[in-house]
Amino acid sequence: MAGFFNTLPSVLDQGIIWGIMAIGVFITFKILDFADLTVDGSFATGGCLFAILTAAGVPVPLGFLISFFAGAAAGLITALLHCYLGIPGILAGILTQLMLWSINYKILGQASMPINSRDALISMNASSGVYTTIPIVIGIAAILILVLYWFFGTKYGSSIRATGSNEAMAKANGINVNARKIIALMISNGIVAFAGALLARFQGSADINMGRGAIVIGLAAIVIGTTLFGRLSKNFALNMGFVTVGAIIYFFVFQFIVYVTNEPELLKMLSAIVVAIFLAVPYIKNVYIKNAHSKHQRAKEAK
Amino acid sequence: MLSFKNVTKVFYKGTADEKVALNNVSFTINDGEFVTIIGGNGSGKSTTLNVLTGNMNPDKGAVLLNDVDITNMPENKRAKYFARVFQDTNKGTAGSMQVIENMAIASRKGGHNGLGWYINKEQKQKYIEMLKSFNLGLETRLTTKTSVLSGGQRQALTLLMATLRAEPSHKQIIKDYSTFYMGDKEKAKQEVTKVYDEAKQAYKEALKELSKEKLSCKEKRTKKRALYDEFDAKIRKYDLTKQILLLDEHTAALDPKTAKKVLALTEKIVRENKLTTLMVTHNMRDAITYGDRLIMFYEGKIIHDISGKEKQQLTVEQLLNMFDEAEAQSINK
Repeated sequence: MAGFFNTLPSVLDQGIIWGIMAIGVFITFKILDFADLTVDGSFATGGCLFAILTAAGVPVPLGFLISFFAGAAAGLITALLHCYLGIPGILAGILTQLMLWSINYKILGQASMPINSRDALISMNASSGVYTTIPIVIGIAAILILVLYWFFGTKYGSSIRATGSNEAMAKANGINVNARKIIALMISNGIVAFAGALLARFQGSADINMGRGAIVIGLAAIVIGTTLFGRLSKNFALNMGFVTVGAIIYFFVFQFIVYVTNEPELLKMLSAIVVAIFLAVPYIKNVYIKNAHSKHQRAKEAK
Repeated sequence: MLSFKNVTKVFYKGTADEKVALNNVSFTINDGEFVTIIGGNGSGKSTTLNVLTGNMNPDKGAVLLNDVDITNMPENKRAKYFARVFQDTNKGTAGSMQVIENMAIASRKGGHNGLGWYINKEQKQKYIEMLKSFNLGLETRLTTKTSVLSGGQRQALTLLMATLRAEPSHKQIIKDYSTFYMGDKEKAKQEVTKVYDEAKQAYKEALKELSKEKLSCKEKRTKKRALYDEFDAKIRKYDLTKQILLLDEHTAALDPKTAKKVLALTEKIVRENKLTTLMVTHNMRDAITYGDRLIMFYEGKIIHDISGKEKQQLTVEQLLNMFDEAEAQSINK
């Protein structure tokens, strides 16, 4: 068991970074009500671009910023495909994701690339001691959540929420829904790409396949976080925090399964099962348990 | 004034399912009129509203606001001239947002959505007063999500929201006045610009006078405020763009008791705000009871347009006879 516990700090790091990505997914999936599959591509775009930029000597913070905007551009493509060319949301995301795979390969020039940076500003290499990175990623996640809390509380932000909640109402109240969708998709994918850059930095390498399954992890984090903690508070900022915690739990469960089975090849299947279970929990609770309970009650009353 | 000029709208054109929803329809509705629109399924009532708001584009013809063609104006730009309440009680509010957030969004109709916080104390107080005055029991449920309200409450809230909009800026008022003034628009523009310039000049001079006076800070602020309000009121007189209320069978999904309540509220809101209103309904009794004018649609055409005394004396039997007549005629064809 000691081996398992030794990996926990790095799992925590990883969980928080993927939690930041999940916050990006939260914006489209929960706020805009749009299942955006672009994220598998834009996550890798962020990582790959960051790797190539650091190799070229670009300062780390600037690398993060450029990755953010690259992700936002990817979101813009999906939004334009959806809003102005009438392509259904899921398909628009898949198309962009496919495009990004080629683009990411072009950016990186190879399938994967190590990052060797001695920049001390954000020292986040796994070999440099993972314990120091935990407060940094927590800080980044906290700042991000606060900024988003503010943004979605503004007049503009609430018009985005209205668009996601009820498009007919938004239109009837003079909101340009296409503009809102574009902005939300750009912010979401920008955050996702930023998380990709963070992960590349943390792992010390970037890989064109690093985003594969990102959407599943994002959804898993949202579902786990909101299922387990959602009833504690309806507060918007806290809910984004729950999502981050959801990602951490996801990675702990994951790590445990890997430790027990010792077969990393099974990971993809296991992750799908984990997501399916957590997605099914609210449904099972509603349909099977509540129904059984009320049946029981009725039977009792009949007596 | 709002009018349709020879509007035609055909669905599924060129297919076996071709359906003429509006067949060369023309009408004019004057400011302040409360019109009920009645007709069977597929007679063109709802299409009329959809074409008005820009949700659908007509195949032929034009939609005029005053005497300006707004046929090609996009839906979200038109929203400030129209307030809509739908049949589906879920359609009028953002279900996952709070009562107060919904009201705040409605109050920015036609205005800007900047990066300021979505509401301030003053507005919040105003909305609470508004909810109180309508006695809906909603003033204590400000942070409730509208999806958990009852259908009747949601419909009533949508009606309240329909009366809200962003106060247009002075620039906007001048622009709208010179666009929508019926008659010599150039002259209207000159007139409103002149009034604005003079009012502004007067306001500035009054401010100068005020700065010379020896008053406490607080007194100065109140006086400044009063001066601005006076200036503002002079310009607001020229605000031509009052909202037109469009009710699309808004009580059809409610139980009779709630429907009655919502209709009473509708009447109150329309009369208090002197709103130009178009109410589409299936219910003949409601069509007779409410409004000053009744328009009857049949197969994409207006077959009756009744107003004034004749409208007041209308009975359900008469209306039914009119329907039967129309039906008989169309079969004979």
